[in-house]
Amino acid sequence: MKKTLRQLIALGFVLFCSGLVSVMAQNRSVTGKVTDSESGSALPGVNVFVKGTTVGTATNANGNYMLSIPENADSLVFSYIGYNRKSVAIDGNNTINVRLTAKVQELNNVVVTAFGIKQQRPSLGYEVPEVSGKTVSNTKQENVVSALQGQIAGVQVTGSGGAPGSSSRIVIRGINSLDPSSNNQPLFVVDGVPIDNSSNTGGIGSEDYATTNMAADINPDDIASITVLKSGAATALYGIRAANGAVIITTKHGHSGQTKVNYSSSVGFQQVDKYPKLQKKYLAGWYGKPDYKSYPFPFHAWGPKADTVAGAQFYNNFRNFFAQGGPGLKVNNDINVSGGTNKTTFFVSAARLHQRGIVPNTFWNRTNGKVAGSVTIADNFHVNGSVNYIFTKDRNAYQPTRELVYYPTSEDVTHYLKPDGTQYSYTPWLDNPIYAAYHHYQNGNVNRMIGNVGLNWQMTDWLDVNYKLGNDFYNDSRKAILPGPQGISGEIPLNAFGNVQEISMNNKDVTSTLIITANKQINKKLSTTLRVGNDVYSHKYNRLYTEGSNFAIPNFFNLSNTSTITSSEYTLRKRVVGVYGDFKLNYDDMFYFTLTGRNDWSSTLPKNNRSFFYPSVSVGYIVSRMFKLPKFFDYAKLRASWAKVGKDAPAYATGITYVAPGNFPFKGLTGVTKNDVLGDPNLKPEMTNSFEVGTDLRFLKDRVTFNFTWYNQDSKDQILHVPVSTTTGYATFVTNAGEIRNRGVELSLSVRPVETHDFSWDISGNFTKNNNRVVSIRKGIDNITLNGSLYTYGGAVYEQLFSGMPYGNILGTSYKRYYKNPANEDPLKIDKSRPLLIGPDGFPERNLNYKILGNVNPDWTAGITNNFRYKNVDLSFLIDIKQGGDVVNQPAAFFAAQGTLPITANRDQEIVFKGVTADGKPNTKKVWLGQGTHNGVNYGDGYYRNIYRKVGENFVQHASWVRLRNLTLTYHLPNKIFRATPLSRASVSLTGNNLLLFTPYSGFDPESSAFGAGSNTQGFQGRGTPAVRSFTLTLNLSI
Amino acid sequence: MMNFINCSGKNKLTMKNLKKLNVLLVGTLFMLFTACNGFLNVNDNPNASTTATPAGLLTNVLYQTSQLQYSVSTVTSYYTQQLASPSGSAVDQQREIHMDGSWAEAYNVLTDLKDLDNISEKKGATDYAAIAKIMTAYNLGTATDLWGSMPYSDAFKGAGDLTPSYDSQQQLYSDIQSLLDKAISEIKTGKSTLSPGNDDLYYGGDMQKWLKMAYSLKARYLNHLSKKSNYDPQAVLNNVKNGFQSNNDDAQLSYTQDKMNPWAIVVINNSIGILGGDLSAYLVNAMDTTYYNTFDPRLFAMTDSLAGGDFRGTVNGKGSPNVAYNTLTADSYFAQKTSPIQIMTYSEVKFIEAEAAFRAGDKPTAYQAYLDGIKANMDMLGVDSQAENNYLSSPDVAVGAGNLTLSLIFKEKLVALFLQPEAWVDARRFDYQYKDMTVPFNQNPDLNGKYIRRILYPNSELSRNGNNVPNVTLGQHLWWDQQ
Repeated sequence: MKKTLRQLIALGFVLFCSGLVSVMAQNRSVTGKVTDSESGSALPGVNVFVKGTTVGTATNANGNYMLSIPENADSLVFSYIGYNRKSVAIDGNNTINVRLTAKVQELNNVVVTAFGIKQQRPSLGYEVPEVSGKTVSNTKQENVVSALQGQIAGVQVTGSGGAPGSSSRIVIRGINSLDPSSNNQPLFVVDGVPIDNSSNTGGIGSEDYATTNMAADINPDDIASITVLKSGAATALYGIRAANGAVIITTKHGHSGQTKVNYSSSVGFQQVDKYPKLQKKYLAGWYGKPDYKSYPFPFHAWGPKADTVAGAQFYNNFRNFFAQGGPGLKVNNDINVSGGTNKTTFFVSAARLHQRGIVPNTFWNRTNGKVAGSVTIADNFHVNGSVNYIFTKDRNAYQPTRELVYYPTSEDVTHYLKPDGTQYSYTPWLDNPIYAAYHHYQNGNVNRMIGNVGLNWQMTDWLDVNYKLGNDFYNDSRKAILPGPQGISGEIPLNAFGNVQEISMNNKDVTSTLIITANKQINKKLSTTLRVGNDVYSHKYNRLYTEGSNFAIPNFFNLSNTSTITSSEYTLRKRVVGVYGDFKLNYDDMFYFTLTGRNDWSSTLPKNNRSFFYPSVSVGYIVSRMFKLPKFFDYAKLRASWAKVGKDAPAYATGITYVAPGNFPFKGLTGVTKNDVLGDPNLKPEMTNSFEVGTDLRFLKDRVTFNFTWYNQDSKDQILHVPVSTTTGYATFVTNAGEIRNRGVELSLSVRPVETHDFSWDISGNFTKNNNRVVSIRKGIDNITLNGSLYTYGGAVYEQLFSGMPYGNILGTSYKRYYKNPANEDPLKIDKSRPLLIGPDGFPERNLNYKILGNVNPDWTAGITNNFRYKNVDLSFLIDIKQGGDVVNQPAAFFAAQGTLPITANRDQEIVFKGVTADGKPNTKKVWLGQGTHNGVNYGDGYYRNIYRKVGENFVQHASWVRLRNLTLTYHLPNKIFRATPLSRASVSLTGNNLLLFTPYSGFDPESSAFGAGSNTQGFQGRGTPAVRSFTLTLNLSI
Repeated sequence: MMNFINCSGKNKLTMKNLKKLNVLLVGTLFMLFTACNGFLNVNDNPNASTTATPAGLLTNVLYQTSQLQYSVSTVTSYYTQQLASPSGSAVDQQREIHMDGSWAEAYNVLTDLKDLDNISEKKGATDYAAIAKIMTAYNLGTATDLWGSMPYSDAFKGAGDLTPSYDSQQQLYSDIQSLLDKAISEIKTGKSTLSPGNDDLYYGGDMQKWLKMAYSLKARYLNHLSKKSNYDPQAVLNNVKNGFQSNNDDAQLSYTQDKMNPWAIVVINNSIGILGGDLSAYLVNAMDTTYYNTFDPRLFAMTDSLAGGDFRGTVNGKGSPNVAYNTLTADSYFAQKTSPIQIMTYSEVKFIEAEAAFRAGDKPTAYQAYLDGIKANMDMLGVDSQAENNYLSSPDVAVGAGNLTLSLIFKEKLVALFLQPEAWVDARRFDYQYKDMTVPFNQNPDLNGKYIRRILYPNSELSRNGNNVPNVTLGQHLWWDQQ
């Protein structure tokens, strides 16, 4: 296969060169630029012909062309799909610039694909969905990833909670890697330069502090458009780095002509969008008695009935906690200036976002400055570049809801300070969450520079060279503070010693990309394009971590003030070199064929396996150009693609090593221990085979468009960090093993039911169904355990992968079911139709062997967007639907143990559990659900503590939802108001996010993630900040 | 190539007028392609080493063994009712327990010991190899006394066996003896190419002390077989003879002001409300004249008297609400920042001798060893000689050789093994027949009122090596705990 493809590529090149002879006969050239008449943006791939001949070329990525013309040439013809054909007389001109007008109602036909190459949509063998910059900024999401929620079929975006700047996870067409530590998120590319989108935990627990995903540094208001490359064929040129797809962001740039100024300012408020319910029947206490302040029962709500106690009061501590620092606040100001002459363009923007969190003392500030421009040095030589500087500053509280879920409803959480300034808590054994948020937190600072410089040289009318050098450098430094005692008598300190953690991370990514493009119009109907290129990527990351504990002087949070200091250092380097080719054939704008091949050399693989090649093939067939379709049928296209994409190993995953444990130095000595990761010295790259077919249809003068795609992706030879029994001498084994498959359908439909001068209505929807299956793991390894809950006291729940089952299964303890013949019991699946097994004590029995309790992945998702325009008013809203997908409600497990979960209000009842006893007969034993002795039987701590909370099954809940993700109402001020001012446009808009949420899930908003966007363990609600609803008012002014 | 390019025009960039850039471009390209191999050789992990020295490994395993000793004793000390939980914790109530952390720590140490042994053997560093074997025997013994059957013969093989099978405890006990025998012969040959020094955190490189440690351990693990029909007290006594001769031989690790003894951290946390380190009511009552007439002065090495000179222990499983209870204190022998964690002591060896001699019917030897064991322990704790003599001569203690009972030996050994996991082995061998000891309050109902006998296998094993993990319950007796 490899060989054949290489030969094919070579053949393409020969074919191409054979057409060159005719070029030599020509003796005069014309250059020019083709732009869109309305937006002024360059149009790539426009066919330019000498009228009545086969002499022609196509415009390059910047819309420029150069054509050698015969002496007798009379005029040039410009044709482009979706645009009106235009013929221009030459009249001896050497430069002919042309503006083409789009056909009415025509969709945007130029899309940005891999390496920023603009291509005509019909020519592609795969779908490339696009989200406009306007849509992105209308969502008023400060994180560009969140702005994609519900917008695109096949793209799943999950927020991690409502902390300021918190991360969002994006996964395209399902999880492709079995490895628990593997990155499953797509590559982010800004203006042709890949940028980092990791969620750095800084080497400390992923649950401790909310972290952001690094793509959130991009200013959403700078974005002109986002396209998403989903399939292997679409990302084939990017190779291994885009094995999970790619998000291609194109930012705004200046156009020749008038200078434009845009200013926007917004202010928004945030609040928790959903709270769990707690019982309000019983007060705090233990065994029915109100004594709860002293150990060992200080958090519990197993006290007396509220109606038996005079003056009993329940505090709404959740609401009060989140209201403590005022509602969440967002203030954003953005200004950009753009313009240009016929030789230069520029774009300058500055933006500042301040976000105050709903958790007291938390914030995220982002400041962006960007300069971009282009210079035409010669008619066929252009230089462009941009520099984006980003500075963010944030503060996040340590596990903000950790103490909050314990705080009894009989105590007022807002009483958190003593007059002497030390912590007030009603018991020394529980910290006050507000006090903790104000004093136990992490400050972060990111300084980042993303830049690129590009050259475009149109060497001849058929040969074009593009080179781009880009970088993404940042320093992320953090300091976490946990104060020790203040030395004030009677104080309740947060920690006996206090400590400070200093973390400094440096990331350096440099990417160099060279693309040489050759176009050849072989005859009037057949044209070809060949691209060859080289791509070099260098990544360096290092982290210095220093922790000091035991402060000598209270409140002086400096390493020099600590008595014990430990330090660690981590460096990661990775380099990839790639060479690729892409051959494209266009027959009469009707049939398109593309063949690509790429060879990568990755530093992370053993030398012998370092080089690997992978190809792709795709076809597009515009049926509507061949057959005459009924009048209402405007356009029909069939497409198909097949691709193989490689994926390399994580760095340093080969071999056996020894490391120094953190305890040293001890008495001036250091020690070494065997690294518990065992690397396979024969690692080879993973390979994913993907295949997709689809169709794009348009009807009724393009008022209805419909896309359908079916895909299948199989990833083999997975590089796995397999958690293995520690008795092997290692905790993890890195090896090639296993296969995972994703198969699904994507549908999207847009309709414009009404369109008049004053009123229009657009509705568009997308639907995604992805089926994932772990096809195999490795002989001798039954399953892979991802992360899980560690604080459920006997009700442990983990995410685990089993062969033959989908990714994302949640396993844990369950209720025992009755089997007459225990051999019939499936070791993993719970048969909920069977009766519960009731023990001799009358209570359900627990099954301690882990069984499947649910799966975190949705059955399907859909997004429906409506856009209304009536005169000067626009209204748009997005409904986001998720069917299926379970979430582990860990707070509910706490509530059950503490007696605050609503179900525990029936503790004064005697019931007979429905089920059968060991002999198969129906249970008849009556039991009491409360604590202590009842009717002579000692029930101990009671059913809810002894059994209910220890059954993981009780806390895995369906988290389907229908939510009003986003609603924006915009009023465009009529021109006459500001006719006397320099303003050209002005609008005011009101945006709401998460305004409505319908879900059977009982806790906080189920859209949350205990371990953050970077973790493959999703579906756990933990101790972080819950999701929020927000309202934003925005003013937009343009000059 | 140049032939193809015939475009001309004033404002155009051609190869001709761009020779310099051309050279630059081609040069850059060339460099990119040719630099490939060297450019890609960046996968040597800068964060780790591919080799290890015996000294580095030794320092680490000795330190980690002490840490493991602590983490195990944070469970076993509750089962032996030396400590009690202020909150009536799940551990104190003998509820389901897997000890995932200790299992992982134990296998970490055992893995490093395996490497230490292999590397040292290769270098001819027999002293290091011997220490590795002794510490392997010790850690394997500590672990199997918690979990029974464990992977050993198929363990540490990495990719060679990802799901090691479990060896029976009987097999492990024979492995322990042969490891110790090999260590003894290696030390005796005395031809080590490398000699441990400061890196030997226990003995500073004194191989004679390691030799005594090996014999002492042999005695300990032979003595664990007291319920077995083939129990051989004489074999125990033969090893005791070559074992520790004084408190100077104790295997222990002292901590420093910076790297504190973990019990010191418990005491400091206790002072700010993260409660822990409560002495159990059973232990306090056994020492403060509640159960016996004679006050045991070692109580002052653990705690201080409460206001009014009283002592009050926490009832196991019940917690300690509202009033003051005795806890480990910051100036106690055990919980100062620099206090040692004991791995094995001379006084334990004396009690082993007492028990073995008693079972062999040699009461005078047993009685002398019993008194020596108490004295050695008191000396270690720094009890003053007046109080020591008072105690040793009191009628509760100085019963005379003829009246010596196993109960007395076990009662005294429980105090002498304060905060040592070995105490739980004794409790089970003695079937918890300590006078006045009762099951904890609110004890795990699954135990049906009987004492806990073992730890469940860790969750990590159940999920990663599930097919090999034996099915067990907390009430099951280990192999040596059955006849």
